[in-house]
Amino acid sequence: MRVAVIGAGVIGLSTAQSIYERFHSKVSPLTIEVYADCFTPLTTSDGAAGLWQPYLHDKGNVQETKWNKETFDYLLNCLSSPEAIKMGIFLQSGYNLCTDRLPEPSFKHSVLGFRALTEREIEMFPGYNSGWFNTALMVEGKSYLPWLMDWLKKRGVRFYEKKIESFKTLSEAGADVIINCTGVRSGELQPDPDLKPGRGQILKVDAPWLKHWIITHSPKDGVYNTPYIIPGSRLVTVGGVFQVGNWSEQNNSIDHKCIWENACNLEPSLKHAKIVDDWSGLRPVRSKVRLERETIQSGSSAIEVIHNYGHGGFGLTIHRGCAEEAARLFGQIVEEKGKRPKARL
Amino acid sequence: MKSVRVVVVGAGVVGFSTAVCISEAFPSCSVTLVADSFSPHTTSDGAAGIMSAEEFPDIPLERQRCWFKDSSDHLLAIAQSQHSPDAGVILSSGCQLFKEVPANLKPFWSEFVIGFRLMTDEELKRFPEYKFGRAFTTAKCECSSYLPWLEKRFKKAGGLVEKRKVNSLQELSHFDLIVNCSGLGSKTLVGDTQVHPVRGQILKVEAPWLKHFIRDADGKTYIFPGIHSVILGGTRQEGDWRLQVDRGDAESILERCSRLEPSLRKAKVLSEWVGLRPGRRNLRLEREVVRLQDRRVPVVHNYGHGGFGVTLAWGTALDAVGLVRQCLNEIPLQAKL
Repeated sequence: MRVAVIGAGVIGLSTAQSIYERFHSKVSPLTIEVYADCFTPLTTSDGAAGLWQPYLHDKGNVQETKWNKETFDYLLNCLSSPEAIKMGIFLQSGYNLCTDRLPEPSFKHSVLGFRALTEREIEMFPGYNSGWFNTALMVEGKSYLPWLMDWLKKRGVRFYEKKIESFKTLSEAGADVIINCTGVRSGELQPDPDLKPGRGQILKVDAPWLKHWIITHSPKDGVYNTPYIIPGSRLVTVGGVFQVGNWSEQNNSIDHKCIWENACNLEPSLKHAKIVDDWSGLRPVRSKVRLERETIQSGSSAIEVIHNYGHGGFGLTIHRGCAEEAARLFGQIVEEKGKRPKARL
Repeated sequence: MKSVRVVVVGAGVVGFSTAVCISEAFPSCSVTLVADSFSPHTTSDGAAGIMSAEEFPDIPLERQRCWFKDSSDHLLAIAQSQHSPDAGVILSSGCQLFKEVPANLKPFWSEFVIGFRLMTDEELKRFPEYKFGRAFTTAKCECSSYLPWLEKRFKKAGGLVEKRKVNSLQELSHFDLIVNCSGLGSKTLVGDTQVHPVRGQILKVEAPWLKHFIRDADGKTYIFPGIHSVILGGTRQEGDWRLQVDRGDAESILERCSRLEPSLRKAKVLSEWVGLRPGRRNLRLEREVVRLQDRRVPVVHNYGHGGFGVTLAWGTALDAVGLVRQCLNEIPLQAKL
């Protein structure tokens, strides 16, 4: 069976991994190919700070909450492997700060040591009157994606730098199943009015004395439109903005100024930090993740597609749960093809 | 009226903290700090600098709580301010692990650190050899930055610094008040036979992905991430004067720390260091009057902090200020003319 994965961000690569893990001994031969117009370190996943944290409110989306938790548990398990550092996985604690009292997030059960902030901690952050402290996982795209590519290459997965114009092209070239992990540009393969860019801009600064992440929340400003500071393994990511509908991937100097000023207000010691880099990326925003099968009729043949896109600002957070679900859907296709009488001899 | 001349002996964290507190509390006094070693060559420079405390057996607990609280408030305030990187004082979260459940679930210092709580079962799963743990946020103080920062503050308050070895208090008879923060040096400086070295060896490694401190409650194994490196320790060898690095100790430290945090096996070793903690059954913080030449000179002692110098420096310095105040009030008027 030939599988064509479109997209080499965290979603594409992890889906290829899950399919390989589950089916390489059951389906023979199993050829997996990854097609993408860009690879690490230029994907959206590479720019993300890498903190595992879903949005504060899951909007009742139980599936997504489940996939988030599965991802956390999976990463926590990876932590004890000797590969953890290469994978870019490590623990970091920090503060979620709110300007109003908000209900506890659903991820409180997934992370470690979740608790409300003490009075003393709230006093540390003037302007915020409640929040939580917990230990979460970091998974840095710039390490994780190369690690995944390595893992896949070692197992015979081939990579092609190529922009795919249509599902039909791949199908005609021999792909039995297409996995659509094209993130924010999925609309180019199949129009999706629900999919929009959620533009983000970040600064990377050198501030190694910071050992906690700080994320602020303000319901009236919307998610990730208020300051956040997330130390990484080398540099600190400072954000943020979340501009829905803005397709610009250029760094904007007004956004830069605003982000920097707000972050320095939040963390006074930042004024001593050297700004090393600026980056902008487009989060693939959707009302919910599109993770489903679609059989597209093309003339007399049927193209099997599994969509796995629209992970907004929580791609790294949810990737493994979604990859496993996509693999499960793939399993359905395998089973169906097995039952069908052989059309080609 | 000539100003009272105070001398502080010792340029470690206790010496400089005490000198700063005295010079700021008594601006009309002239304060000189004298020492043979300055940062980065003091015992304090090798200290990991994460606040931790154990009870001294014979000092009233209330006084010890005061020392810890004052030190903690002081360091945490710096850690949360814009001065954090300059002073080398940062916020650090982590845990203290126990192989057996301790008798005292909440130690005397628990209310002075931030967010003190017991570790959850889920968290303890990462440490299968341990049955109990405490998690909290505290300050980490890197003396190689903190001591120069304190020195700046001391000089700003009019303090004078002199590099010189003091072999006996007789050499300081021209001062009106002596403050002795000579740590292990007190053994010879004031003939204190109770002071003894507690040898500690550490390694500095490069592991920037480590963001939490982990400390075994036995005090011998610890991982303390700092600004530019992670400190791995350690040893507690009573009566051991060796300042050379011991290879066996180094291997043991790496092995014990890697068991706690497996990713350390991939960490690059940057340097190694040995220091002698100024051990004493109880910290000595008291005043006395000593006969030097033909004068009676008040002496305030502030030494014997063992492995808790960084943890208690500021609090004991403030306490010492109180003792200095008592001494100053008693200096006869004619001595000031």
